[in-house]
Amino acid sequence: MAVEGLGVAVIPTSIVENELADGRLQLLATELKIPPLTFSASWLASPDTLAVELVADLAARIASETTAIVDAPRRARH
Amino acid sequence: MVDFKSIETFLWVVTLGSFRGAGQRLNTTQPAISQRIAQLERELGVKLLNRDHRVVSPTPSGRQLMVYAEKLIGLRAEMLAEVGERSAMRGVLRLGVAETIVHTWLPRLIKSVNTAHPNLSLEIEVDITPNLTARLLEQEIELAFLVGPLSASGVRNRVLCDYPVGALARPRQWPPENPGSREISDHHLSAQVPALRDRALAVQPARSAADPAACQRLARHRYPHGGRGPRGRRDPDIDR
Repeated sequence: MAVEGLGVAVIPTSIVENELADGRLQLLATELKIPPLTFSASWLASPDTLAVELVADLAARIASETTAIVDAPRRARH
Repeated sequence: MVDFKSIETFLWVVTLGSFRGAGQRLNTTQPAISQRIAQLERELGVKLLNRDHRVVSPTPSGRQLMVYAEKLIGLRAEMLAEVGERSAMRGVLRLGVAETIVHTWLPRLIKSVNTAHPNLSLEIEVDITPNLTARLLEQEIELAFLVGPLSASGVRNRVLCDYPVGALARPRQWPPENPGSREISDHHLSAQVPALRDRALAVQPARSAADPAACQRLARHRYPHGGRGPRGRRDPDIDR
């Protein structure tokens, strides 16, 4: 809807990288400090969580690699 | 001969407090669960579970067995991790994912799981964080990637990533009184995104989601139109 010009979207910027890059959306400056969203892998403790922990480990590695890629050009611009 | 299957069944019946829950967890039927427990009781010659209440609870012998069952199943998992081939990891893992993750790195994770553990399949559902929390606590999913960490008891968390949140609009459209400006006042922003107003007022955003019923109430209250934001735009995860 924001792309259609129907309002302001307050969302994690990383999900609209393409729209920001090609100019369909722009980031507005705000006085309001919008806290970042922290994502976690969460599961219930039990004796057999091997598969769950393996997938959570992979996710942590991939998420940190992806975040590093997202952050790099942003830091470079500053 | 007492086998792993019956021990695992017993463990899940006690952990989940029901035959039905254990059946779902182990992908089998309630009668099959009853049969395994009955056989285990026959083999050990003692009664393991009290079935007279709606919630199944262990007898004193059942509690004793539970100590060993946890050790045995934990040790089996450790053995498989240490000794087994990577492809030995098999089965279905039910995973709940917040939308932001779907749009960022979920595809890479799926590929990587398929490569590293070809016999492990992911059953993925996408929902907002309060719903994922409720589903996790109800044991309907085994793992969730959500806005966390969760502080409910018995929940293990691993922080994955921080994503900056921004106010975004089509260029030269906002704010209406000054199109082309790249700034938006707090007033306008709060008017545009009522959810943010609550969030800005709260010094520490409420992070705990210990009570699934409360989560669902919150989800209903915040998303009265069935998962859609106040302006019809689905705001993934912003509001929890």
